[in-house]
Amino acid sequence: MKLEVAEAVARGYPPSVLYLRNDDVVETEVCAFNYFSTFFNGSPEAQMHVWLFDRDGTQVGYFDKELGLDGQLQLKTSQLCSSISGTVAVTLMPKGEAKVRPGKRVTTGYYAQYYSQQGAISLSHEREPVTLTEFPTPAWAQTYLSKFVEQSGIIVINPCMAPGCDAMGTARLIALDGAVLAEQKLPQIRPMGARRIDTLELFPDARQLVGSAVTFALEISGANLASPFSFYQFANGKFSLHHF
Amino acid sequence: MSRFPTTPWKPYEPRFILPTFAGLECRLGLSIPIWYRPLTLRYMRGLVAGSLKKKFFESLKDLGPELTSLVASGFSRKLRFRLHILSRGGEYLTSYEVPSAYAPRASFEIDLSRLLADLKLPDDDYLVVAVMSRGRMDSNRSSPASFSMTYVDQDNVAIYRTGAFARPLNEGRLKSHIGFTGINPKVIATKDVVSSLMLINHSSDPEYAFAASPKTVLIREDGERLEGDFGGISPLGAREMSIADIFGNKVFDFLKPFGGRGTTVTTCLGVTLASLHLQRSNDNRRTLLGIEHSRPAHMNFAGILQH
Repeated sequence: MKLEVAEAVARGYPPSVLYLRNDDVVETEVCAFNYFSTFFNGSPEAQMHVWLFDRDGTQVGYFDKELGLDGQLQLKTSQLCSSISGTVAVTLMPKGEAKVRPGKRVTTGYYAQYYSQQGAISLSHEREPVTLTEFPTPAWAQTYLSKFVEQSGIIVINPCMAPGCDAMGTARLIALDGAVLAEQKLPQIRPMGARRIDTLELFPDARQLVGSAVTFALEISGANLASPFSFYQFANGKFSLHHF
Repeated sequence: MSRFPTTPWKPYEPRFILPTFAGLECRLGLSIPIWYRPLTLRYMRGLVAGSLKKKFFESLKDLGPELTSLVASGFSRKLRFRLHILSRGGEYLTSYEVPSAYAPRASFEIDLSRLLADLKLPDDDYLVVAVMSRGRMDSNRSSPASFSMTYVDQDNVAIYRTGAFARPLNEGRLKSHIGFTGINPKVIATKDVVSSLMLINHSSDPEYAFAASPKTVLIREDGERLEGDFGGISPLGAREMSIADIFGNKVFDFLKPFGGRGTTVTTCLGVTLASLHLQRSNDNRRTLLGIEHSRPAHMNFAGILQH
């Protein structure tokens, strides 16, 4: 039965988000297992719901599947939307009488595999759950190491569904010694939207600023941003994504 | 006889155990967030409140070494790192103290492949225990950011990121575990790609001495399953097994009707294990395509009241 994201959130089962990309470079596969049937005696059945959103947060796809005892899902999302860069949100809800503690929520664990058409595969577990209230970027998820200035970039997602709650933030290019080399505002991202931004698009002078260093750091801060992803896209067509 | 020649880590020092792979450039790094402080007012308030509930001297005994080191450092915000190199069988080989200290906003990064060569270790698969001088003042003394493990192949980059913690693990005196259940729904067995699982029998106890012997079940979409032994894992050691290693070459035909896809559920009673999921080319593990740490599914159930 079709379910709206807001209803899943209201029932205490907010879907968790990941980056979604299907095009001639990459295909995203969502992988999940009915772990309720492993851990909950007498509650083997669950329903998996998958929502796809484009870069501006418009829902463009939906899929659901009943998962019984040891049920699993490996969903090629290109079957739902073959050309997209946006957000995938997934929730797994037990079908029995699993009541949620007052004020608590039940998050969903799943993975995505990003298949480069040129043979690489990168993996990520789920990131933050969808929320209906504004939030600051988690303090521990602000800075990460990157390399290959010309092939690298960041991916940011807005998992806040509240109307008008755009994600806003700042990116800083940091040298290994901690010096701030440059600072730029991130583009605003509408609820459930996502952006994939090359390092050189964000910091056109990054090559000169980083100089001969192999590695540099990117620091992201702001509001309504899930913990960011780094990515590399090489000339040979291989795409590689990594959660913070 | 002790495994380590000297105390390898103090109970409050966050630790992260990671694999290196022969033939790959392996890099370890961490960026320290600008906000990092070794001691916060919030923690001090919690400490005072906690001390009032416990016996004062008990609290002091627990925290004494940590607070002493903090005072000795002059409440420095800089972090230090040292690395212990172990074989995949869990034998201690050598240690390396990173000479520099790193302030907030600076990044620690090291080319482990070069370090192993400098330490005169032969090109092989190893485990590295990265120890940082202190973490956040939370209950697990967690690292203020995630470590990045980067594996660079000739034309591919595989990365996973996760935190370091000073929590008790597989240390009977402090923490006993019901067991480990690791679920990997990303399993592939095709002519091009074969998935591997790497399990690490980690512990907060440097003298940890218990081997683990997990079992793995491979389940396909119609519910049919194969059962296999993962093989023994030495204390503070690791083992990587492809699903062809565990179930034999019949695994390719078994998963073929389902596009070569399936799920493994790996269990081990009485211990907890660190778990990595690897995607490799079907070339006897020569090429690493992707790597990710697993997440314990039971963490998702915390909000459920009854079932």
